[in-house]
Amino acid sequence: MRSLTLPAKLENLEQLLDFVMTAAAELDFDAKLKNKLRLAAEEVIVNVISYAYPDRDGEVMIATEQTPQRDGLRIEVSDAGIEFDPLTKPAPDLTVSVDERKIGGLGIFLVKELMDTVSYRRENGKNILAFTKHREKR
Amino acid sequence: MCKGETMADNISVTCKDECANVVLSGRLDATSAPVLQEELKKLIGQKLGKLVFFAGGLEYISSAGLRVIIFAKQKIGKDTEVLLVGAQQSVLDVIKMSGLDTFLTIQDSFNG
Repeated sequence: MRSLTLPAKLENLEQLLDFVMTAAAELDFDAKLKNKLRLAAEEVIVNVISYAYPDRDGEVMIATEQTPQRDGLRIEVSDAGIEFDPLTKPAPDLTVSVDERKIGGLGIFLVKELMDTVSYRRENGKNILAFTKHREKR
Repeated sequence: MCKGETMADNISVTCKDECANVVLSGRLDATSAPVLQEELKKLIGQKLGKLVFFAGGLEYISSAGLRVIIFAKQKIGKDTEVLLVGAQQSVLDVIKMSGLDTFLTIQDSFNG
């Protein structure tokens, strides 16, 4: 597993996403899949940047590895901020009229839609969100 | 009367009569979405019949970009039709997945 740890700041988003894109390119992911991975990674990292450290500076770590079957990519995003499981947030109601649309919850919804698996665990004082994408739909 | 003109890195906003044209390119993500939001704020309170997002050059949109489009529809005016023109399939997929197609007029092309 390779990883990159940087201060959880928006200015580092590009570099963190480049790290994911490099891993995806090495596994011959096509443009469409790379787009989906970038989107999922952006949503998860931006969540950490926005909410994990409300009253102090902190870091975000991104780690990538091949899936055990070597048919896809597994990504973990972790932070040492406040305990938070984004997967417990209810999905946004997509049926309400635009005036009632809440401006939140969309990001993690997209991650769940676009990735093959998404899971959360709390370990050693860290939030760890892991997601996988296989090269071919299974 | 809609007025104003802006150019940012990958966003340009121009106004003519009661139609605001927003040309998007590259990535509309957490980095660039706040820039677009600031530009669109300038349109609040102006009388606009149409707000047209030209998305032919847009490669990527994340929830930060989607939120700005929702914001635009909510704040710029009930009577403003919001159009999304020329979006490529991957962008369109995310738009539809998020339910934004319920209030956007989606077209392949637009002649203002």
